[in-house]
Amino acid sequence: MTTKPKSKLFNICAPIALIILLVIVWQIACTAFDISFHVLPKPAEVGRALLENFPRTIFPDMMASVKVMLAGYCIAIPLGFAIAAFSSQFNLAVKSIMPVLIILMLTPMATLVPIFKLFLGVDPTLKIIIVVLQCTPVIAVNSLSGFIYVPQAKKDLMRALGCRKWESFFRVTVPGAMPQIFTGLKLGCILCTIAAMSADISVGQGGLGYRIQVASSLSATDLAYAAIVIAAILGVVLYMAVSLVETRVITWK
Amino acid sequence: MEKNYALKNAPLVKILGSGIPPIVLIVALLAFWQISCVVRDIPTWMLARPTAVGGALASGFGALLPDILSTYANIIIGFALAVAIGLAVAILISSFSLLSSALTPLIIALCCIPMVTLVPMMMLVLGTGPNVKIIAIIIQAFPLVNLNSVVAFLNVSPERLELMQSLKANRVQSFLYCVFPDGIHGVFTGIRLASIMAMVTGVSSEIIGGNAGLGSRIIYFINFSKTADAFSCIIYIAVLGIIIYGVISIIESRVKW
Amino acid sequence: MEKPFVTIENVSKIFQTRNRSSIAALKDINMQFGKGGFVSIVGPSGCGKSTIIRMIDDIIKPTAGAITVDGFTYDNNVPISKERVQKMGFIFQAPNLYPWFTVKQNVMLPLKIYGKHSQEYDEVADRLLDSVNMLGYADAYPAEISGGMSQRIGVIRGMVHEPEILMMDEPYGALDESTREQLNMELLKIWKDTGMTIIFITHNVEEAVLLSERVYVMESHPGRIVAEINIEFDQPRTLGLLTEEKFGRYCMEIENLIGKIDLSKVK
Repeated sequence: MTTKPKSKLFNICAPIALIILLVIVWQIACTAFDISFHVLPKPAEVGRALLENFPRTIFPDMMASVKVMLAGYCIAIPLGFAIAAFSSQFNLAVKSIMPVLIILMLTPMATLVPIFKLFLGVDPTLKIIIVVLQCTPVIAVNSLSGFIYVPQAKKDLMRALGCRKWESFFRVTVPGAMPQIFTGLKLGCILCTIAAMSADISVGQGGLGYRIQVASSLSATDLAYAAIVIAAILGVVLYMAVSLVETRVITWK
Repeated sequence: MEKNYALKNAPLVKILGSGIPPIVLIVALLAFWQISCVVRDIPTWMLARPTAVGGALASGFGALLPDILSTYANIIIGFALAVAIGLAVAILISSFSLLSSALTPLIIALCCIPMVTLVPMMMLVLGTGPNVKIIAIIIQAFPLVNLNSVVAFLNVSPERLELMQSLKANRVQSFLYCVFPDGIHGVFTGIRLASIMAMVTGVSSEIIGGNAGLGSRIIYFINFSKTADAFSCIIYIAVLGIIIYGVISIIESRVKW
Repeated sequence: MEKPFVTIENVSKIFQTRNRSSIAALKDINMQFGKGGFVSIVGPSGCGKSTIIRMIDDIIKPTAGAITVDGFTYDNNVPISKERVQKMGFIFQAPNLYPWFTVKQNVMLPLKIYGKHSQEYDEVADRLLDSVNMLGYADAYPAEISGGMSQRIGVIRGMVHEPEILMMDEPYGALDESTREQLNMELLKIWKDTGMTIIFITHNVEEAVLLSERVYVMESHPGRIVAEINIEFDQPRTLGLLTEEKFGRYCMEIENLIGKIDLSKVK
């Protein structure tokens, strides 16, 4: 079960080579089996659609999705963190809020889109609200369980040094909970992408999800796949950004 | 993925044992909801009152049963397949370093890509049946099982592994007796996280492209201003989440080490 | 000691560190001892004593040199066969029991891996458990027994497949003094009963002198053997030896050898 560490270069090249290979297989398979354009366009066609439509439709859609994702995610982080920080201070709050948060985490917030439409119409803030609702519980649950499991010895040390409660929270509890906080943030960013896309699809009014929906109903499969590629890239970039921050923050691992 | 102690430390069994505080909180929230609906005179087609939702839960159950079963079956089948595939790929990846280097970044990418975007496209090929939803769930959920399991399998305690080396155990023996039991908690963490993804993806794909299932019923009820029935669908969905999560917790609580 | 059973010839080990520099862990180790012997290796921590027995057990490959056990020679390129490994037992510093197996299953683990499932071996395991008064705990889990008990189980797991040669890596290092003395006496009895060859690693000089027929003293940076002292006491040995003057002289001699090394390193 031992895996020998390979060189850094190899670790970068291997997945790129695999992606290129997959694209080539996709192209060849489409040609060889004569797969209909409406079912699965060739990568070359998707690439062309991407380039042709980028300035006119895909770029504005991308910016709309990015705005929703970032706004939602940036509200969800402090909100989830605040809920966790507040409830970690009271035993009773932990006991009562944790299960409710877990239930919220497991309930897809896309279910609320149709209901919220009744209040808000197709207001763009609706999408942001959906993203916030989907991301906050998972961030809160993970941070909270990080906050709860601080070794008693460390707390005692802070008390012995005469630290105030909030000082001990920010100097001991938060750094100790960092790995869990980042688990929550990474899951949050995955859910944030999913929520933004499904909100786009069911709310409409721009965004990559909306573009995919429209293109597929017009049988413009090449454009739909182009939008999916961009959505995938957004998800991966957001995840990588969070991971990068994680390696900067958690230097002791 | 990091080892996630977060979710592991909140087994549902324990929560049910100390169930009173959350129940009190939920009742308080419901009371607040009911009172504000009544006091501010919010129309029922806009926001259903908890009492109305309760009524809808009771009266609509029979009519909703086919949709409940369809949603539950899709999500449970997709989730179970995702767990099996994630685990199988994890065993492969942790055994061969070339596979690990090539596949791990792609698997991470796979779980960041919102599969709901592929649902409309897949429906062009596969129609409106349950297959599309199950495939979307599998693709979105299996990477989390996979990544957490691989991390767990590769970080076996070196002393425990050394015993296997000392006994010259073969790969299979070493995996069965040492690596798998040692990494079981990481596997469970992955399964737990995958359950969230399975729920979100399953229901979102029903909302986007369903003609059956609770997700599509929500849209239907809202279009006919039956808000209370729409809320009852959400509650049935939440119940499935609690069931899946609870079953995982109960199974994991039998792992005593 | 008669004809050599274990021979270690000019064995060296160089470890590669993460930043590509190399550390000479062991340099030109030579050892030779006969069948049924009890030898100890003592030395400061980090001198590579554990590495030596891991190379004999073929967990770690030597960079240079060769090891011969019972007429079979192996080195960096030639591995040891599974049949040969079955004649070796290895006991770790920590009990290293698997928490997912019961005490009995832990003891039987080597047999399971070697594919020996017969009734006869089941009885061997029971007899060994009985010999350390642990038969009543056969179905308990490691988390339910004490540290001393766990270590006993770790020891009998190393010998359940009836090896000819037993390597012990500071097996009692983490235990309190009285438990350790008791386990040492048990070990001497097992050694007498089975006629195994035992290689015992320790940093406790008194323990080495009490148990073994020969003590190798090591120095670190790089790890090498600086002295080889035969301990001549009558068998069977008892704790009474601790008060003998000769015992004190042996200890003094070895401690001086180790102490001298430490002092020279301080400069």
